[in-house]
Order: sequence, then C-alpha cells, then structure tokens
Amino acid sequence: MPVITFGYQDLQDSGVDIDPEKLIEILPMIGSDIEDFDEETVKVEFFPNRPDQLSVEGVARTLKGFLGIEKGLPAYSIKKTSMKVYVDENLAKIRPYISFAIVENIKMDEKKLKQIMEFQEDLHWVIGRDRKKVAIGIHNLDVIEAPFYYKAIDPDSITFTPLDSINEMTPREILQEHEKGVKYASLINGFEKYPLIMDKNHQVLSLPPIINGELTKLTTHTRNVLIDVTGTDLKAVNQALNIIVTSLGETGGNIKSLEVVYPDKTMVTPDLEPKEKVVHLKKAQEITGLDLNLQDMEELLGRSRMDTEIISPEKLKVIIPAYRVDILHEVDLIENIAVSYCFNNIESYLPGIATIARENQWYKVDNLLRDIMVGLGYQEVMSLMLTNEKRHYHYMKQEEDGRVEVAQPISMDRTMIRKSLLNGLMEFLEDNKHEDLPQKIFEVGDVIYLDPDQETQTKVLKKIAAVVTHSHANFTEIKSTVAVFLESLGYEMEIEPLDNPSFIKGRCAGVKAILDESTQISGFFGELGPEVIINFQLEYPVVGFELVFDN
Amino acid sequence: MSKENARIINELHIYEKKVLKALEKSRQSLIPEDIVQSQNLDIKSVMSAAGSLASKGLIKVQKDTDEILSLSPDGETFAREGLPERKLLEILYLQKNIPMKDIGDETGLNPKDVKIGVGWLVRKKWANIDQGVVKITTRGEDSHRTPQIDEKLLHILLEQCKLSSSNLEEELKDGLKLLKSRKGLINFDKITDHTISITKKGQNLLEDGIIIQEEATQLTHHHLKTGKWKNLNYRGYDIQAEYPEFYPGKMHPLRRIMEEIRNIFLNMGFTESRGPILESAFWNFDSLFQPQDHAAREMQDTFYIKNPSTSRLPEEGLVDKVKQVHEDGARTGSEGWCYHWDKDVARQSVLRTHTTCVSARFLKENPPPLKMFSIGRVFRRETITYKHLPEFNQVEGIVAADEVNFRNLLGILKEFYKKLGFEVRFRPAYFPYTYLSIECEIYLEEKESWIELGGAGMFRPEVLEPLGVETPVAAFGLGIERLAMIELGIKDIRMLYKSDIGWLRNLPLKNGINLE
Repeated sequence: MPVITFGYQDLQDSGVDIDPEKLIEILPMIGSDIEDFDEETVKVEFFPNRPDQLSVEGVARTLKGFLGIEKGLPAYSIKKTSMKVYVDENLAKIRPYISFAIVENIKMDEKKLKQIMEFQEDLHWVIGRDRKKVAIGIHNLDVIEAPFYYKAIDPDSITFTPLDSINEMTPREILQEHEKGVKYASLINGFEKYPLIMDKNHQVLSLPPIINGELTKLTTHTRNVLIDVTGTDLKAVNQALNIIVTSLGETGGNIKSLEVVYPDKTMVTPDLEPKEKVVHLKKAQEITGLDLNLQDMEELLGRSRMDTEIISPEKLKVIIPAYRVDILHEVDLIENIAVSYCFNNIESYLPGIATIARENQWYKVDNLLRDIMVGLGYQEVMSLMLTNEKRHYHYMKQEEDGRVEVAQPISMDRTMIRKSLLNGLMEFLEDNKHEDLPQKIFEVGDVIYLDPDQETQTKVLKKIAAVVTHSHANFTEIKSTVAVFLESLGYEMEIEPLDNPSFIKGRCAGVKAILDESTQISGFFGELGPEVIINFQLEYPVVGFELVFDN
Repeated sequence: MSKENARIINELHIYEKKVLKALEKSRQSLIPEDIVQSQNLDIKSVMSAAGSLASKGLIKVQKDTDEILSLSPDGETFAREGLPERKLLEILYLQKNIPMKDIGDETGLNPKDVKIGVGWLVRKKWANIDQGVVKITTRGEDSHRTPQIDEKLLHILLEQCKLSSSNLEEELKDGLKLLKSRKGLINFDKITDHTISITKKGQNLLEDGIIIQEEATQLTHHHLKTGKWKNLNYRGYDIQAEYPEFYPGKMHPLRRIMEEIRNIFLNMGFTESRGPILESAFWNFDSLFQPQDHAAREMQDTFYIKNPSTSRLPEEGLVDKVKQVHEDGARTGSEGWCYHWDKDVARQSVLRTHTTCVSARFLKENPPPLKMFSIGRVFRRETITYKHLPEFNQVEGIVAADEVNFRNLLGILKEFYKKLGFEVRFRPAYFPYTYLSIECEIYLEEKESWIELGGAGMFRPEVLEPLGVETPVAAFGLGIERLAMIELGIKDIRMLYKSDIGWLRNLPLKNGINLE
C-alpha cells in the first residue's frame, strides 16, 4: 500500500495548524496507518481507495474537514482556454485516451518538486497499475506551445532526448537502451506504432507511458505546468488528472482546461464537475445504528468535504468532489458519515440475533482423530500444503501422478499441492534428526486430488499419517498403533500384503476399514525402506502409516 | 529414633544394611573380603553397597594402593639359570682373561646375552676390558661365590611369586633398582586395598538399630498373589534420583489456538462452514466485487494454477449478475467498476487468498438470519521468511440479519477479542468487498503498543445483491498465525511449520489457551 512522508510544517503551510501529538492520534481515524514518526515528520500508509490523500495537500484537505477547519466541497476555479490537443485515430487500439490540464503559478522548490514526483509515482501504482492503465506526465509549460498532438508514430521516424539523457534517441532505441524504456517496454513494444505527445513545433513532450522528453523537465524555476494523463481507461485517466490538478490547486495554483479533440468527439479536461448521489436517512440510521437526523448528516458529510442539500425529509442530495474516486454507492457516503462521526465515538453493542451453532462435521472428525493420536502419545505437527515433486514423489520412491501444480511457484521447493502427508512428516524428522529419540509424530490434514467431475476440478481429502523413529522401530509397533487407532474409531482392521515402494518389500500392509457403503478408510503401514530413510538424511529406522477418509 | 535416621534406614538397601551389621559385629575396620565371608555376599555387592554407604557418610572407605612385583618369563629364566654376567664370571673366574671375540665360544652364550653380560660385568666392576681382552677384577674374584642383591631379589621372587614393593627390605630395594634398569624382567602391578570403617553418623545409625529383613525393590504380581508381601520390606527410594525422560503426545500449539477460536465462535452461536481450498477466481475475487484488474489479483500476489488451470463457473444467472455488477453496478445503485468483465478471467483457478470466499458461498446457500464462521488455509505468493509464509490460516465470521448494523459489528468484535484476552480498538480501513471497513488493533501489554490484527466491515451491496442476500451482513476476519506468534511469544513464523520437536514437547499446554 502507498506510503507518504510529510512534515508537520508542510501541513501547517497547507492550513492545518495542529499539535503533532494530536495529529498522531487523529491520523488513524481518517483511515491511515502510521508507520513511523519523529519530531518533524510522519510517515503514513493510506489505503489504495484514496489516491487523493497521497499528497500532503490531499491529507491537509481531509484533515481540515475532519477537524472542522474547512467544511464542504472545496472550490477550484477552472479557466477555460481554447488550447487544443489533437488525438490521432490510430491510437484507438494502442493507448486511446488522453487528458490535459494546465496549472499555473506553482510555488516550486526542491521539496515541492520531490513531493510532486513521489505523488506521481504513487498514482502510477495505485490508479495506473504500474503505468499500464494510466501514466502521467508533468511538463514545464513555458518551453512548449499549443496546440498539442497525441500521435501514433513509427518507432524509428523521430528522435528526441529522453529525460535524464544527453543523446537524442528514436522511440525504438529508448525501449531497447534507456533504463525506463527497458523497464516499461512491454507496455507498447507489441504495437507497430508508439504513442507520442508533441507540441505545435514538433517538440516531443513525452513517449507515454514510458518517458518524458528532457525538454520539458521540471526544475525549481518552473512556475507553470502542463499535465498529460494517458491510458487505456478513460474514467481512470480523468480520475488521475483530477486528483493531481486539485492537489496542486489546493495551494493556490490556477487551473486551466484544454480541449481534447478525438476524431469523433471533443472533450474539455480537466472536468472537475462534482458527482451527485442521494443518501437516505433511514438507511444511514439503520446501517450505522446511530441516532442521526438530516442536519447531523449534513454536518458530517460537510466534514467529509461534501456539499449537501435536503431534498425531502427522508433524503439528502450529496455533492461529491471530483477527486473522490472511491464513492461508488450510497453506502460509501454512509461510511463517510461514520468516519466523520469518528469511530472512537461510536458505542458498540451485541446484536440480539439468536442462532444455534453447528459444528462442521469435517473438523469434528479431525479433532476426533487428533484426540486418539495424542492419547497414543503422538505429537501433532503441521506442514505446509505446498511441496515439490522431488520430496513428495522421488524421495518417497513413488511414481509421479496427476496433481495440482502451481503456475508461478515462489521457489522450486513449493511447486505442487500435497497429495500425501508422509513426506511432510519425514521432513519434520529430518529437521529434528539431532533431537532425542524416540520421536512419534502425526498430522491430520487436507490434501488435494484432481477430480474432473468437481466444480474446481479437484477434491479435498482428509488424511492422517504418523511416523515413529527410534533404534528398534518395527512393523509390530506401527501395526499395533494402526489397530488400536481403528478400534478407537469403532472399525475392525483388515489387512493384506501390499507392495508400496516407500516401504521395505514384505513389510508393508494395505489396510481397509469399511463402516458402511459410503464411508471407508483405507491406507497402508509398514517399515520405510532404507533408501527413503537415507533420502531424508535419517539414521534410524522409521515406521509409519497413512490413511485416507473417503466419504 | 530421629526422623532423619528413620528415613535413611528406610532407604538402605539390604546389602548396605548387611555391611553396616558386619562393621557393628567386628567393632573394627574391615577389608571387603571379611564382609564377603561374614555376610555371605559377593565382592561386587559389598563394594557397591560400601560405595553407596560412603556417599551417604555412614562409613569411610580408605584406599591403599600398593605395587606388586612378579617375574616376567625372561626374569624367571634368569632367576633359574643365573644372570648372563654371573655365567660369564664363572668362566672368567677359571680363565682370568678371555679375548672378547672368544667369549661366545667359551661360554656358549648367545650374542645378545654376551653383550648384556659383558656390559653388566663392567658395570658391576667384576671385570674390565683391556685391548679387547676381558679381565677379572678383585671384586669379581670376591663375588664369585656371593649372590648380589639383584640376584637375591630374583630368587626371592622365584620362590614367592609376588612381593609388595613397599614391604621390601632396604637392601632388596636397591636390588629392585638394579633390576628395574634392565628391561622386561619384572612386572609391576598396582593393586588397591580397601579398608572399611564406620563413621560417627554410621555408628549413630547402628545405635538406633537396623533390622535386616528380607527386602524387595519391585512389588510383583507374585508377591501379591502369594501374600509374600506381608514378610517383605519394600525399600524406600531416593526420590531425588535421576529419571528417564518421557515424551508427551500433544496437540500442535497453532492447532490449539485454532481450536480456541473455534470454540469462541461456537459459543457465540456461529455455525461452522468449510469451502474449497483451490477455488475459482470467480468465488475468490469476482463474487467479492474485486475488479479483474485489481492489484491483489496479479500473478505477483496470487497463486494461479497450471493444472487444473480453470474451474467451472456456477449457474449462469449468478455469473451474469456478478458480471453486471462489475460493469455498471446493475440494480444495486452502484456505479460498478465500468469495464468489460471477462468470464475467462473468472474461470481461472487459484489457491484461495482468503476465507471470504467461504462466506460468499455460504450466503448463496443459506438464508439469513445467520451467523457463520470458517477457519482454513489460505495462500499468498510470499517468499518464506521469518515474517511470511506462502500459506497460513485465516478465520472469517459473518452475521446476516435484517437488524444487524455497524455498532453490532463493533460489539461482536469487542466480544471476540475480549474472549481472546485482548482489548481492541478500531480505525477506518478499506477492502473492496466491504463498506464501513475497519482495521482492528489490539493492545499488547509487553510491547506497550497497539498492533493490527484483523479487518472487518459490512459486505457491499455489490457483493450481496448477486448472491440474493437482502439483509445487511457484518463480516470480519483475521490471520491466525499472527495471533499465534503473539500468544506463543515467537518471533519467527516458520517455527509453526518447521518446528523444533523439543519446543513442541516442552511448551506448556496453557499456552494458546486463555486461562482467564
């Protein structure tokens, strides 16, 4: 999740005069997690639904409302210009959307410059899906001239100097050689033509979503900026633009709009027109459980930086600022009411809903099996379900068969989901080979088998396995264990000779116990073969059993 | 009799008593052999009883070590036949001088003995060598009939077989020195003599009276059946003695915590549910209103499956409703996510990333009012470190009813955490499938800080409407391993799955269970 760092002084500059101690107390209540703080700065994590709070100006805007310093919809005036951006029809299949805005009279300094860069990167992540969906470019307006052109160009047809470079390069060369070009190449190198933004004089502003030109680079002397947002999702493109523009507008920047001319339509951006939604009094009362009236709701929504209008004794019209991209539904407004009320002030009580609890049969059986094994003196262990073929099959001398395989394993150690518990127990013994013997351990757990008839094409089976190791561990010991285990469950043990490659030939028994037609337990037990024991680096005999419950 | 003496006497083995009795009778120090005879015991029993009595301070065992001399086979030959220099002297006495080169022929001695003999002739000053001729000295003449001290000792040893080196006469001690300087004639053996005497404490005990009764260590089936126990004394044990280690069978500590949580929910009237571990993206994400381009759905964070790569989607009606709600909010009043929802993306199989899909499935099948919980394994694409595992357990609970509200959700959470032994506080949070979302923080006394443990919220209409649920649903969940680490006081999450058996064996059972 995105993390931003700012100073108490920055907040004060943005109009929030608050004691640092009080700030630390309050920040969590607006929906953030304080990662760290010291005497001058605080580092907070915000949830990804609120990209508008990823700048100090955005945080200040929220805090002003929450603290009642400034309530209601923040006002941003936009001056319309006739500057135009022409969009090439060939971009429709590459990166179809672009929005522009101008912000003038920004008080730029080193700190501000750094904050803008970080804000931009955070937005790339949170809204932009690492630039795939949305990418933002911010340019020095004073070195370029309208109209602007958003074009699909031949990758070799033009050269320009990319940001932080001294050489002119073609777009194709940038993708192959420039650090950022290589990093983001996959976003456009599948297309015949690449997107490019130019000005009237064919000066290159940007090769979105890869890199800007060196020409329009921001410096501490920059006062007026042009912002471009390109992307594959028009809604997200405009949201990102609105969030940046309103954040810059908070500290006095003058916002100007441009006309974006598509082949089939013209749009004026940025469009900061607030959204309207209705919230119902009764619904808010019922869901929050708070004793609210319409006036309370107006006050609380005002503290959430929204304007309201009572349209009936039951309904409130809510006017939502354009930077709030998280409000999808009336329930989100109800949430804002509760947040402004402050969670700390909400008293809890238990619901008066009488229900009778039922245990799940599956887990009930698990516990029964555990009880028996613990009573027999076995220590329960737990293993991960992710394992690998080497340990699951090869070490146990078993043939590979159908299994659940992970598409992108975290490591070659965790490539599949277990079908058996035995190798997990052997690994446990391996990890504990220097500990005192005897060691008697068991696991009750889920394994997954393939089953094309099921919705998920798999089925979960319950297994139990146990192993014993000490210098005299033998067939009789494990046979006694299996027999008493099954007897404790009310089953008779029926056994027959079984050739199982994990076990010494002639020292393995297949076991079956049938309770009724639908329920049966089957499995095997015996003395593990010397190769298997050695594969797990063990030095003493090991005996064990594994049973599966099928019903 | 003092209590202490009574205890000591009770703990005495019958052999120990017999040794004490022997000392009482003789009223003087004894050697073990005396006791063997008088008490009819074997020497091993006497020594072991004496050792044990000495460690209790009841007797004193004095050890005297002595060196015992005996002849080696070579020594025996020399003792019988005379030393080589003696043999040479016999001849020399008659011939007075013999050239070195003729000695072998004249005496019939082998070259080795000739060499030794000549050496000792000179050393004992019985002869000297002048220009290759051995000549007898006056001293040699005098010694002709007189055995020397070393020869005397050899003869005595031949007669007596063994001699204690400490009891030798002074003269013979010098002889021993001479013989010692010749290799391999005499064997030296160390022996230890034990002298046993009673101590004051032992005397004291004897005065109290020790009764020797037939005694037994183990009460046997035979004793009980025959009534023999009536005449037997069962000796008391030293209860502080070492004992063999015995290993318990226990439930895994993480399992105990899962059981604790399970019981809390059952006690609060929640019904337990269970769902697939390998799940379709549809149930894991789409049914929970997570847009198909949501970051959490990326390969980076979620385990997708190579085999079987897809799952079947549920009934068409439900799939359509979910599609609509994603695209434009459908009839929920939501804006939706405004994108084209793709069935194929929903079909992909994943290892479930949370147990919330169990809640969604349960809501589809069961009408409110209801309370449900589920505990189960979930998966995230994390590398294994002390902080993270790619799989862990999660618990999830929901309450669905017409009248359930946000304050109820807080109430249930407070009660739940209280039962776990924690104070809880809440702050706003965000999850794609809830509104009035909260993060729960619990207070840790030992860290004097609040830490995040669990999330909650009300299920969004976009989640509920396609499932056909018309009441509000309060939902909450938490990761169990994190709680377990706090309760068990461990810093490395791997300890739970790659456990040290010693840790599992030694962990007190109260851990993980709130004794309150």
